[in-house]
Amino acid sequence: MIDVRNINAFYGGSHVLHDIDINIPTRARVAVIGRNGAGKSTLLKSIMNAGPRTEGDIRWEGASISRLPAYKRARLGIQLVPEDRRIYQHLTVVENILMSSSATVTGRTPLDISEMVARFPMIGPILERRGGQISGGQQQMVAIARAIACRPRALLLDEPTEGLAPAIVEKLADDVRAVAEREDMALLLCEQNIWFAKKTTDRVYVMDAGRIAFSGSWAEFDAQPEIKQRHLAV
Amino acid sequence: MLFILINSLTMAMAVFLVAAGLTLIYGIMRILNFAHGAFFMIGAYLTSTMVGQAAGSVLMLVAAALAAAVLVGILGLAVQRLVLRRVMNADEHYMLIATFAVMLICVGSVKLIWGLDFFSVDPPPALSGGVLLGTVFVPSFSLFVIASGVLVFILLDLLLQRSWSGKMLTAVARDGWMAELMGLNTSAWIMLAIGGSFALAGLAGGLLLPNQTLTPVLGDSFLLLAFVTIVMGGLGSVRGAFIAALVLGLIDGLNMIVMPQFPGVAIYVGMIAFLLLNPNGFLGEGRL
Ligand SMILES: Nc1ncnc2c1ncn2[C@@H]1O[C@H](COP(=O)(O)OP(=O)(O)OP(=O)(O)O)[C@@H](O)[C@H]1O
Ligand SMILES: [Mg+2]
Repeated sequence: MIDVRNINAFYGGSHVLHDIDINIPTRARVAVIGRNGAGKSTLLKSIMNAGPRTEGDIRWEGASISRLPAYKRARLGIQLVPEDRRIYQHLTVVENILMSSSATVTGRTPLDISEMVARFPMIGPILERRGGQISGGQQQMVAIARAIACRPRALLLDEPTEGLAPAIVEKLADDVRAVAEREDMALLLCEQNIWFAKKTTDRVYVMDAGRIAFSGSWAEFDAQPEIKQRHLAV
Repeated sequence: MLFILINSLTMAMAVFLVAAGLTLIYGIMRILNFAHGAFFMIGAYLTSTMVGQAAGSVLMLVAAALAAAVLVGILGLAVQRLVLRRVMNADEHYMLIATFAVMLICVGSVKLIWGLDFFSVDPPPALSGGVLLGTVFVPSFSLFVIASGVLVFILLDLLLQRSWSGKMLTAVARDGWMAELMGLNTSAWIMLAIGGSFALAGLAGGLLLPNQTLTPVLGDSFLLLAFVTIVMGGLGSVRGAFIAALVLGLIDGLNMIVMPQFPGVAIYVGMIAFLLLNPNGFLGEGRL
């Protein structure tokens, strides 16, 4: 479904991603793990055309989307939940969630609020609160709910566990796993929390200094402890 | 006393009408549009061409002002495409210089099209008289200006704060990156807001046309006061600009009572004092 072919990404003069190939089949769940600064967020932003200058080809359902602006990629059904969440403070939780409806793919109906609450029970009690008045964990839930509400075909999640308490991370893993299984949607997750990544995905790419150092199933990853040693230890 | 109050309110609402579009464009693009006064003036000239020596009726004046708003809004879109878009990501000094250049071009064009002669337009007959409030004679046109200012404020505030489009526009202004990722065509929204900002300048020019002397420097006097207003109001805030315009009007009124020999001084003293005490304006910067 998403085919990243040999991309290189740059911030001004600095070369951040080197010859990256990543393939996410329809409805697949894939993780990219790597240290701070490895280039995970840059990869997601390159897929969306939202920041770095990107060279190389990005394909969606076989067709190149390398020239499309970010909002058109969103309307194809690709939703990015950024690591800093970016909930609008002047809007209520409900309004934040409704905002993504501009990205609804033709032929799909956006989820309504009660369906959202069924998927993310944590947002039930805070629907009318403003974005500025909810906790970090709640913001993460709202950010994911907002991306799901428009029924995307692919969800790009950037470090959802960052800064969350362990109990919340567990709840989040359950909710994300359930949503990914239930919706007709692929998941590309960038994480440093390996436990969370294992729980929510089936395949893993390890990124180190802007290059892919490993790709395979989690079983293959576990069978080679030196990968973790060399590319993930800090 | 009441007379001075009405005068102050008239001035306040006139200034607000000009400042509304200025603060809108600042809220969206973080740009101080020096050309705003010039487009205000173009709105006034266009309206004068439409109504002639005297507007036939209030309705005709309002209709002409609205038509001028649309025309100036379209000019604004052209300015956006040709100039603002190109300097949008550049340093803000370039933006200032670019809007300054646009202002000079506008003033030059006005001189070419309408000439250098002063002329003026009378209010429509229904607004040329006045009404007695108690013992005070109040010009009807002042009441018209006050009503227009309040109406424009209420409509703009409802649009921005309550309507879904207003909320989306605010979202684009506050975090366009995220808005784009949610499928909003942010450049189209920005175009819309810029068109709206220029249209407000044109509308103000049309509504305030009667009793003005039309000259190619008409924009300047209003622009300065409008800048003071939006700075005091907290750049980018329509509500703040409304409050600031009222405060400026009242300060000017006090000025008339206390030091009638120095008209206009208190406004600037007031602005400096206010900004020293409260550098972010009434409602804080960027609260679009
Ligand atoms: N806006 C930017 N301008 C310049 N360099 C940047 C920018 N954003 C990121 N970088 C650099 O690009 C590299 C990759 O950053 P990126 O944010 O993709 O890493 P990451 O894997 O997401 O890290 P983290 O786990 O800390 O979020 C880093 O060296 C970073 O310093
Ligand atoms: Mg990151």
